[in-house]
Order: sequence, then structure tokens, then C-alpha cells
Amino acid sequence: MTEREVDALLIEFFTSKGLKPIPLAEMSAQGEEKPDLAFADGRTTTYLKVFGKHDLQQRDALLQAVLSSMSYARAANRVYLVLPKVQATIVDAAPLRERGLGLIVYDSKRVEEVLPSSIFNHDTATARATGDLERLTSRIAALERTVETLLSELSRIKALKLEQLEPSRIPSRSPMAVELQSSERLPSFLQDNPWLEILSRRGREPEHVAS
Amino acid sequence: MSEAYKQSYTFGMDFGTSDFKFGSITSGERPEIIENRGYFTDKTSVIQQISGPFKEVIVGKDVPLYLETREDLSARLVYPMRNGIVEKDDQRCWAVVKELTQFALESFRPPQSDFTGFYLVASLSSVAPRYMYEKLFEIFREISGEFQSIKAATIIPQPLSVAIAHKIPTCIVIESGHGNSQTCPISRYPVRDAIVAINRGGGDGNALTAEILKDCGYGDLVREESFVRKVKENIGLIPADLDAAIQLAKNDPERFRATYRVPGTRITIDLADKSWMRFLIGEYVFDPNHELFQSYFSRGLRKPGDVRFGDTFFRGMLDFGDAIIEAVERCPVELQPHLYRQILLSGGNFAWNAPADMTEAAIDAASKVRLLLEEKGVTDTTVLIAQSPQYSVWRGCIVYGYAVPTDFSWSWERFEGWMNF
Repeated sequence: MTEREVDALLIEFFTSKGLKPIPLAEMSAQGEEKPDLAFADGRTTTYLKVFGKHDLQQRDALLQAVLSSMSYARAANRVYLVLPKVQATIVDAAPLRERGLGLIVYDSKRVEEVLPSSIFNHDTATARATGDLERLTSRIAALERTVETLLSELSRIKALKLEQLEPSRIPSRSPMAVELQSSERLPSFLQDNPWLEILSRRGREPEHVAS
Repeated sequence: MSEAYKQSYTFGMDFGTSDFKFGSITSGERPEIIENRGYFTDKTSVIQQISGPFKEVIVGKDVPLYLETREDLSARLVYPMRNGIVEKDDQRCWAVVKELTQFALESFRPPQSDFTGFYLVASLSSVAPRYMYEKLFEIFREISGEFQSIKAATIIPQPLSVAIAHKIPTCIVIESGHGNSQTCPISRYPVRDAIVAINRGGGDGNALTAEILKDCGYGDLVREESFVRKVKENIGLIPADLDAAIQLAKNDPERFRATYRVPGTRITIDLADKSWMRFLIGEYVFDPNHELFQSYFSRGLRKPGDVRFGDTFFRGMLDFGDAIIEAVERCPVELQPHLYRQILLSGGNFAWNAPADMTEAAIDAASKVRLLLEEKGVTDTTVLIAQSPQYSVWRGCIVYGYAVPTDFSWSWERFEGWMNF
């Protein structure tokens, strides 16, 4: 496929979603490299970094593109990498997801959005909580609540285990008094272990060097 | 700092040759286990560049996520304690040790506000030289300074930990791992001058198994040591008497037939009329001096040689019976009978099958050691195989940290006590 054919497919894909192409001269990239294609729907802008079949032959080509695409997020509300379908298999989507980048794949017949882009807000006055953002916010809040509950539960369990060990603690300065009154609560290897008394005398017995 | 604080925040670490076991006293009966290894990441990889702050060494369960199918994988994946000893200037190995230590401590950092650091008990091979202790303390000091997760630390030899975990104050411990074995008398203290080290371990059993598989037509399968190890564990047997066991197996090959179906594959190993060879595997680990092994040495099997690692001389061809006798006879005469009466076998190299229908030929590790000693005139012996061998070193660390008083400071003469940070 030629570059022009790919662009045509992408324009068709985005216009079908109600977006209009932005002319190259009007594109803003905050002083960085300009995107290959850009679209707008009146409220948000979407920038694309498009790869052809031969663009990924150099080892660091994808890395460079990913890094430069990160800068698009300063100007656009959505950022996508666009890859030929056959070469998309080499991409691990997780790092893209972490950075909020979307992924679109194409072949000669169709264009497919395989990973939606996050929304990057640039103007707090006009930024509005879209449906996606609201869902994300509520999911993060739920996760925070779960983590708090787990931390509190973990803390309680640890405190409980330490409480169980409390009665058998050896008083400092009296190493002979290794009293394990509640030894049934201790791990099996601590119960009735003659080494407890032997070791608690360390430093309080005549000098002994085994070797 | 009070004893009560120390007992609440005792932490154990076992630097084994293959696995790293760690956990605080609150872990119960079992520690956490991860592989004793680290992966040095590729700074230029895409995942590293876009996945946040760069991390040079990856340890723990995340390691497989970073592995790449590349030729230099073996150089990037570092097992720092394959032979129980880390070379003094091997910076990569020490970097892995530091990362493992930090990972372990952070995994158990308690939320309590009174926490000012763990009382850490680490366990190393009994043949670890002094510089390893110095280097490990240096790492602990760095971590303590950066993360305040260590209040004080001490290092004890693994055989002492095993004896403590098994509640036996006077005994001789044989610890046999992948690369080597150590025979260490314990009499309330490890008797360091009596340690006998053997340059032979589970890896040598694997090497002989590979040769046997080649002889039986499975040469194409022996490139992966983990596979060979599985075969060894499934078909290898310890003979009570090698010549007699071979004769029995040759006379009745069907009864002694060695077969192993590799799970999840179509591969079945069948030694068929050469099934008598399964007895060679066990014999070789315990005593490699039978004349039958000469033909393997002449055909390329690496003969276990005498080598020096650090300050320790490792003997290649010493059988386990002679190793015990030599270690015991370096101790006072009065102590010797007590040591023979409690012989503790520890480590994965002592886990062998002894099928109930082959008892006249195949025996377990404890019986083999008892027989080797009887041949040399030592009769009044009790040989035990360590229970839960994976956890016993860690358990010994916890008992040690729990009991040793906080004001017993580290002494380089005694190699004991707490190093305070």
C-alpha cells in the first residue's frame, strides 16, 4: 500500500466517527515534530503517528517514534500510533497503555482501533469529565478503597501474629529465662527447641571459639 | 533496643545455590521463595525506555517478564551463588545479592510506626570466605543507610541453621547442593576447622545421567540440564551394593526397567536392557570411585577434581563416608561418638526414590551413608534426612535471631554476634 492509500483509509475511518482532518499548516506540536495526520471534532484533537511497512526496519525506529509521540500529548487530546497489522504483533501494548497512547492497525482492507487512546486535557477551564474519564475516575477511587482495606487488613493480621508471640518474648538481660509458656502458638521449629537456651547465652558465657 | 523489639522484627534470609528464601518471624512455618538470580536489563530495550524509571537488575517473580530470546541471555541472567561462593570482584553478582536483599526486606516492611529496622539473620554456605561476610555486611550497611530497613544484622553458616531448625545441638551436617557438598560438625557452634568440602553435588549426578542417556540413544535430549535433572530424579537409584544391584538388574531387566514419560510431551525415556545403569547415578553421587566410572571419564565425563574456592579446598573424589570420618576425626576424641550418633543430611541432593519392590537393591540416602560408614568400621550411627529441606535454613535463622541477645556484638574472631547499623 502507498502512503497515500493508508492516509485515505485513516481519513475515512476518522470521518466516519465524526472527526474532520486538520490541514498540516494548522497543526500544533508544541515545538516538536508534527504528526503525520491530525483530526478534530470541535472539542478535542487527535494526532496520529503513521508507520509504513518499511519504517520499522531499524532497531530503534519504534522507540524513537514512541518517544516523539509522547510529545504530541502536550498539544493533542488523543494520540495514536498507526502500524501495519503484520508488524503490530511485535508491539507490547502494555507500555503504550501505561503512557495513554492508543494503537491502530491497518491492512489493505480495513483500519482497526485495537487500543483506545487516553484523553489528555490541556485546558482545565474547558476540560470536562467525559464518560471515559468519569468511569476511570470512579474505578481508580474504587481501587484506592480496596488498597486501603487490604492495607488495614494486613496490618491487623500482622499485629495479631505478633500478639501471639508476645507472651514468649525473652526479657532482656536475663537470657536464662527462655520461657515459652504459650509455645503451642509458636511455629513448630521454635517450640521446645534446645537451641533457644543455648543461643540466648551467647556473649554471657566463657569465651569459646569453636574453630 | 529491647529484646521484645528484636523478637518482633527478626528476619531470616537463606542464600541457597538455586533459591533465595526470606521472611520475617511473622511468616509462620514457611518463608517466601524466589530464585537466587537477577536479570540485567537491556538499557536500549523499548520496554525499559517507556516503562518508567530504569532498573538495572530485576529479581523475583518479574524476571520472566523481562527475558528476551536473545543470544546473550545467559550473560544477562546471573545466578550469584551457583557454587555457594561469590568471587570478590564480581560486581554483577554482588549487585544481584544487594537487589535480592532489598527486595526481601521491602516485601515485609511493616506498617507499624515503631519500626526502625529488622534484626536480619542471613545464612551463607559454610565454606564462604571472610570477604563474603565483609561484602554482605557492606551491602546491609548501604541498605540500612538508604532505606532504614536493617537495625542490625548477623551471618551464620547454613549447616548451623539446619542443626538449629532440627533442634539438634551436637551433630554433623552434610549439606549437598547443586555444585558442591559440605560436611560440618556442630557442637553448639560450627567447628569451622573441621569442615570438609567436596567438589561434587547434584550437578555431577546430572552430568552422568546425560552420559547414560547418550549411551541409550537419547543424546539429542541432553542439552537442557533441567530436563536431565528430571530424568535423574525419576529413574536414578542408590544401590546398597553397586555390583550386586547391577547383577540383579541384568538378571531381571523387566523388574528394574527404567522408564520416564516426560509430562506434557510425547517423549518417553526407556533404558530397556540398559536399565541397570540407573544404579550408576546414585552410586556416583555418593561414591564416584567404582571402576565402572573410569570408562565415562575416558569418554569425556568431567571427573570431579580437587579445586580451591576462596580459602577452601574442595575434594573431588572423596566419598561421603570418608568425608564424614575426616570431619569427625578433626574434632576432639570425646566429641566424636556424639557426632556419629547424629548425622543430618540436608539439601536437594539427598532426595532419592527407594521403590518398595526393589529394597534388596535400592536404598535411600540415609541408608547409603550408614553403609559407607559401616564399610569403614563406623557402626554406631544415626543418619537422618532433614525434614522440609527447603525451609530448614530459614527456620534456623529465625530461631537464631529470636534467641541471640541484642547486646552480643559481632566478633570477627568468633564470626558471631550482631553488627549494629
